[in-house]
Amino acid sequence: MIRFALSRLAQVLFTIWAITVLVFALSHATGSPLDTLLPDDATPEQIAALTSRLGLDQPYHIQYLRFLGSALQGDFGDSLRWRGEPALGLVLDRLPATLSLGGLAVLISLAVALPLGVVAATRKDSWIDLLARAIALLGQAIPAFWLGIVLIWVFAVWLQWLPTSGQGGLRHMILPAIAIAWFQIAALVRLTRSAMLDVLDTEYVKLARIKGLAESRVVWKHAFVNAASVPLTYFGILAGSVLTGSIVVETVFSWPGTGWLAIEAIRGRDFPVIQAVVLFFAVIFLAANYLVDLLYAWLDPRVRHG
Amino acid sequence: MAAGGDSTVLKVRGLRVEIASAAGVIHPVDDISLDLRAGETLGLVGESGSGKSMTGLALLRLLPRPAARIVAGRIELDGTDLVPLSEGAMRRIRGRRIAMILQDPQASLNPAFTIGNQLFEALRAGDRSPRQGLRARAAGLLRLLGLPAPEERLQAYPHQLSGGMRQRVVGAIALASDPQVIVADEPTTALDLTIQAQYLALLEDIQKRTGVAILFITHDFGVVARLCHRVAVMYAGRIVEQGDVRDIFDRPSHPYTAALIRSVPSLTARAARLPAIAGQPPPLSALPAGCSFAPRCAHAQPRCLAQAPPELPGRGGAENRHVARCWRLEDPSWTPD
Amino acid sequence: MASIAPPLAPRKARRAARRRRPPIIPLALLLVVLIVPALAADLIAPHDPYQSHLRNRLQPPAFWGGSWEFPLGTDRLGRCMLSRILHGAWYALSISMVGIAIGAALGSAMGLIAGYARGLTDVVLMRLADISFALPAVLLVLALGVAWGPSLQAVLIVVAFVLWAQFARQVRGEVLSLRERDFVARARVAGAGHLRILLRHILPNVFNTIVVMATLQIGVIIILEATLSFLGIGIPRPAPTWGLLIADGRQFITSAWWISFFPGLAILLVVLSINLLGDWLRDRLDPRLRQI
Ligand SMILES: Nc1ncnc2c1ncn2[C@@H]1O[C@H](COP(=O)(O)OP(=O)(O)OP(=O)(O)O)[C@@H](O)[C@H]1O
Ligand code: SF4
Ligand SMILES: [Mg+2]
Repeated sequence: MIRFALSRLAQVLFTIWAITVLVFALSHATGSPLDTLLPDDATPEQIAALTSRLGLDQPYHIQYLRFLGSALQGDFGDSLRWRGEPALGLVLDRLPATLSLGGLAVLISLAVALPLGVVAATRKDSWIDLLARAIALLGQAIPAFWLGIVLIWVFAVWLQWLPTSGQGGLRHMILPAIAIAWFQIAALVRLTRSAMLDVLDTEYVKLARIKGLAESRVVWKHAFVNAASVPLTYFGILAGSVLTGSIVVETVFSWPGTGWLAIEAIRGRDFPVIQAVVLFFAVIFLAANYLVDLLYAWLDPRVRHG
Repeated sequence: MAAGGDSTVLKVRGLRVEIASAAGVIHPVDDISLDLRAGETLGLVGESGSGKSMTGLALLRLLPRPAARIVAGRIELDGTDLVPLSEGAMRRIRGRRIAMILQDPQASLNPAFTIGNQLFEALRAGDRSPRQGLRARAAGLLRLLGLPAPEERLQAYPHQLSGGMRQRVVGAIALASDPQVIVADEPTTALDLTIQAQYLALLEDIQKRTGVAILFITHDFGVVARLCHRVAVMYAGRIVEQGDVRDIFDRPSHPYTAALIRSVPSLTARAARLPAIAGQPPPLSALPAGCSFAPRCAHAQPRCLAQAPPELPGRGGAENRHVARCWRLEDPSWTPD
Repeated sequence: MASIAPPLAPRKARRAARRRRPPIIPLALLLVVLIVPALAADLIAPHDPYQSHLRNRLQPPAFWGGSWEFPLGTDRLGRCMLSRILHGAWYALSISMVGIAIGAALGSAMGLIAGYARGLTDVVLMRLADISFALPAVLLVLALGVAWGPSLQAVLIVVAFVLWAQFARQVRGEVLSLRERDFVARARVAGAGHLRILLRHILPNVFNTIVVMATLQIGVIIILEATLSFLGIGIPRPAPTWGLLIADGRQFITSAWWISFFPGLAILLVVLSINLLGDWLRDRLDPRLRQI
């Protein structure tokens, strides 16, 4: 188990390193960052001064090491759009808003998808199964940002039950969280349902019934505990799609989180902030996946007890 | 031998199971009648696909849903018909009064829970006994089934036990609440020969102590000879012959049974598997009119193709409850050998 | 519930038969919403999609109190929404097709090479695939978005990046088992070179898998492209991509819902139809893929 944990950790660190290379390469892929840093009518002296200050006259590998060194210290430079603010500080300020929205979305998707998937499998071909399958199909076909707009139109504009956008209490979070959760619900329902169908067919579930256990116990203890590993594996991917979803949906709902920040930064060609966001998201995403892998291994008695 | 008199615990009459499959509606269990007395072992033999497992599952009302269902017949356990019972009432009978051992010990224990956990469940299902005695009773059961160091086994996960040990655990689960009837579906097929012999001896021993009635499903005539008091031979969803084990071996009365017995080289030889008889059993979706066995039968007559044979007294005699479904038995001097 | 019941109609059998028929409704929807508009928008669109009709700004759809001159209403510049959506189909179709072609070709080639060469090549390529998997596409989108600004190349790179690793893994797995089969050994004995074995003997056997996967991914790519365009980091203005149309309608959600609604509905119908088609293809051609 410890060996497993360490070797996976090494993979995660390697991936993060690869991402730093990618980010560095992209920042140099399109000419010099000076173009965005200096006014169009900058004098040659200004250009030369900034070039040597940023180390742009050094060879690439030296520049990369400098970039990596400051990134490790949390220094991504100052934002270009929000003058004078350190890029990392901006990201950290916005992070709680994103995490709370993403967390709510994950909760909603689990609370809806797992029971629905399980019940659909136990009542195969019933109306509830048809509903689950319809949701699974629709979830993959509806873009999150459009769903967000439709939700605003129906629930905020038309019915006026909930606010259209901005930050506030839980009421402000409901619509964006649903917009983010929708895709996850579809994927989780599909996975849970098919995993449950497989498990309900096993001999050990038959034996549980032979013992005369109540059907709820057969389904939730004997079947679900085994089927849950499939949606659990998916959880890592889910973390990624929540991040993606947050960027899009925060923009739709003007939710002041990291995702919205990223889009604003792109519009302002604010590379330091984007670098910070990309690396931060990558770390969150990989950490989530790493935890899921560990949990997965730990939940499987075959791995836990050699 | 079988306990005498009126000790029939399981009485099946005209049981019929229907499956709506892609190939059409089939009857993997068709008009089956069985009697099982306390302390008796009835062997249910037949080729693969003849409907043995379906029969076993039907007795516990655990047919694969929603495809399969019981469409006719009665299953009387101690005088109560199980067929019309509600699912809740049936659940109280499963595990407590009728239990089942599944074929594949590898697959029939839940990999996510310890042996103890799965045994406790079975024990608690049996009666509302207090929790504290549970551990001791579970260990006692495992010991009864010949598992060494039972206390430690309770903590183990299925993957940590060998196939033979797992099969014993499955046996312990079946016995946990002292049922009147156990359906054992090829419980030894997956085990190697030595362990198989030990396991059978154990079953016999337990049966002597508890008087449980066993419906023993198997392919293996060697096991039948060794363990069973009575035998029912299944072919294409029907029981074609049923009688005392001695009558079945010495005076087989159905051409199918006779062919099976003939092809077993020596009844004492181990693992004598059901051999191939020329030809294949007919697909259940396209049974011939008349006797299902007719296409493979050396004794077939024109009548056999037209009309299904009724149950007639076998050569062991009606008083020994020996019956077979073959037209030729109308002639008392006929033998299928 | 008592178990004695009347005989069950062979419902399963009928459903199995239905599976084997091609899905007519999705195919028809695809033609109407995507393919015909993509190829012939100029002929069927009632207006020029860029033409403003300033006197007819924010007209509602015909059935919502508007006129049949603009069946799906107009946007803030009085441009005909129906015409814009019809013209947008071309972007959805061409980008998803080109993107899938690039991603599938790249990924399949990597998978073929990795599975056939095995050894170090395999390890390196699969490690790269793992990294691609481990990176949410959105990160690349962000980085490229700021590096290049909105551009077609950026969209295609993101699409290829999202796709290649999936194709590579699946194809590699099949190649690993195919290369041990008799017909490959026979070809080798007959003196066929590696390239010939790969292209003539192995590729045809994984082709079904590639086609099915590609179909199942088209919907993903259409949504990805729409998302990028919605965020302003996809296909640059003024191309009337469905994503951009939705973005333009966002600020009018309180007064003119139709601007955002119909382009999204087009995406929904198209992706739904393609996925249904993909499921059907998978059942027909490659049931092993069912788990995906
Ligand atoms: N879910 C199902 N749908 C359709 N047909 C089924 C289904 N399950 C079983 N059958 C059919 O029912 C018949 C009886 O199957 P059963 O499992 O009872 O045979 P068996 O005698 O136990 O065979 P084996 O010795 O191989 O275990 C077989 O012909 C099988 O094809
Ligand atoms: S009834 Fe006829 S066909 Fe059937 S077993 Fe007897 S002799 Fe053979
Ligand atoms: Mg069986």
